[in-house]
Amino acid sequence: MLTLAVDVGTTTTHCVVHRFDPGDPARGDGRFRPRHELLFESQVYFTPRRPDGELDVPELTRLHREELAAAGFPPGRLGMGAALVTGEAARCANAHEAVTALSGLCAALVSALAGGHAESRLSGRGSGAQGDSQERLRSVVCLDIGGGTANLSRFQCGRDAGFCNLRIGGRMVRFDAAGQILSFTPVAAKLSEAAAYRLEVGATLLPEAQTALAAAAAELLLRALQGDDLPAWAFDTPWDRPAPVGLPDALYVAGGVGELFHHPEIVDPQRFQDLGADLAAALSHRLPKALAVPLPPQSLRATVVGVGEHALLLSGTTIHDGRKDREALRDLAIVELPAEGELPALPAGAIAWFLRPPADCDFDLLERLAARILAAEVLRKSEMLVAVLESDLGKAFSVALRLAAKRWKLDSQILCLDCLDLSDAVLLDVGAPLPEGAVPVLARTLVFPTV
Amino acid sequence: MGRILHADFRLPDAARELRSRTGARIAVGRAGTRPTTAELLKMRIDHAAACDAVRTELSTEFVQLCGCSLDLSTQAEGREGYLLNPPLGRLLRPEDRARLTAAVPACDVLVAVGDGLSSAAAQTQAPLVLPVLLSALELEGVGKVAGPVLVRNARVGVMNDLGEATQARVVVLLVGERPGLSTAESLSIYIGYDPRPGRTDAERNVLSNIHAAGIPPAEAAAQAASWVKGMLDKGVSGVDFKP
Repeated sequence: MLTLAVDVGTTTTHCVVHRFDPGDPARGDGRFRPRHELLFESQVYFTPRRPDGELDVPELTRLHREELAAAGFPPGRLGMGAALVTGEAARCANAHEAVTALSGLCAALVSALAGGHAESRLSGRGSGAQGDSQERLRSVVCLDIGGGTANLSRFQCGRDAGFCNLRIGGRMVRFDAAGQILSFTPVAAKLSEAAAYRLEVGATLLPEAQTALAAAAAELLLRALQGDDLPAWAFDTPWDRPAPVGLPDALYVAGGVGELFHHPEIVDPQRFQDLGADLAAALSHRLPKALAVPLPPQSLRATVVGVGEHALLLSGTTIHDGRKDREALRDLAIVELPAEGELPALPAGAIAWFLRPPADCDFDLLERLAARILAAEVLRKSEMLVAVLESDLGKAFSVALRLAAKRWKLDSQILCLDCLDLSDAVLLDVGAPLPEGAVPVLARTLVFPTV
Repeated sequence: MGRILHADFRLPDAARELRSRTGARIAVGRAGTRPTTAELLKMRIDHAAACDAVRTELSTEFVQLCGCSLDLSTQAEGREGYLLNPPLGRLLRPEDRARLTAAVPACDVLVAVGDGLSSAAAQTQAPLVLPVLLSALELEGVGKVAGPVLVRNARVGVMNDLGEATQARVVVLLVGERPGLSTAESLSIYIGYDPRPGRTDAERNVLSNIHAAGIPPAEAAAQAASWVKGMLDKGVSGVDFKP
């Protein structure tokens, strides 16, 4: 299967195509360790904007459609995909519309992801930081700096150890060829105050002010990467783990500014007309010598490669798929079943139950959990009952569900998947099963920022 | 002086991480050139558990706990005879075979529990597997299910005898695996279509490593039931069976 991933960022947009090979299930635990082979990287385009600052959706779709068609990937060839609207672009009122329009690029199932920690998680994986941490059993931070935001992800021995997003990026300040300031962000204003400069639209940005501003932003990034406390205005989403943790063993610098960080020789000051190159240089000068800074396999495309390789998940193989036509399911709202107590309020549309039974869980507990789900589903009279378990208990739980359904005389189709962690996800898309028995899913965190 | 109950906290993150990924004895420390007393004792405890698992007879309480309708034996004489003369573990005693034929009229699926090389595995896992397996077989609609019956001193090959004695289309045998130092309680479920004398391992399928740190017993039971259904539908098992 070929998969598509599209990144619509603050400054640039691009896409990649992967070949998705589920491989064979492992002998020990029966799980798949799928491989993703990067087949195609599109050109990097400036994200098309309308004069009012919103996304130019028709132009955006046209760019990608033509790019893909020219490379030999018409919609019929792309099986599954994901579109990611990142950074400041996610704040556009029509970000959702853009994702819907991009859906047409892919045949079966295209999904949207956006925002906050999900972005950090994906760029941390796409950049190779997570793989490094897992392989070398060390702490690694990925710093993915784009136009609007910097996404940080920390990994310890391959495990997620914290994510945050800062409102720092190359396009904090934009100026024209003559150096006149076109626009700046509130965070840039705060930083310039500290450096005793005042930013004003129309004023000329002096070289020393430019350097001082980039230095202040780089300082902030350095503090963030050690987990130090930062002023609230700097954060888009703060660290999700307790800080401070100190310097990691290695740092991966990715994103558009990351590209300039690793390849300062390509810097053309007239191309972007923003703070990106200065920020890359300032960061480069300030990093402690002891910190290993490997050249990432992916820097500019870290996030989109992360989407292509990690947003598409495979369930375990011992599952139950009672879908009559094995048709793809879209936009299931994920509802986590609490271990005990009241059920959360259920959304009106289709839902997927997510359960995290303890490792030593016996069948009695599974039957009790199934009874609670059935009590709710009977009222909803849903035709499709979807449950997802974190541990390898999908098939067993499907037996509990089917027994309970029989008792309640509910003849809905039952789909029960396992070996999937949906803890941070909001929406779930489920594809048709692969011949090997596993089912591909896309877990989405559709958190479009409202600010 | 206080006593350290678990020295794990002294390990660097990387070593602790590696340890958490395997049941093997890695990063266990040392005292000079020798293992620590604590590690040596742990290994001897695990070794003793493995020896016990091989030599212990299945208890009569276990037979009741599993709801086994028949308590059968192979031609091996006790655990000692079973270990010394393994091929006898594949053949039912003639009188037990006759009892089985008389008690179980023709059925589609026969469920049996054998001790194999670990009675501890059977005692621990079979009570967790059987109720789920029987419920799941009923849900799958596999026809008439007989058992469970108990077979003492059993090897996997006894499935052929069980099949011939009952004319079952599919035999499911829960059997204890050879114990090791990481667990003595690992169970396998062997499933064969049309098992008759002469059938080989290539004509059976197995779900193995069913224990606390392996495949959960309930999950294995549910999976076994859908394999049984698949084998009955396709009329084949073993390497030719594609689940």
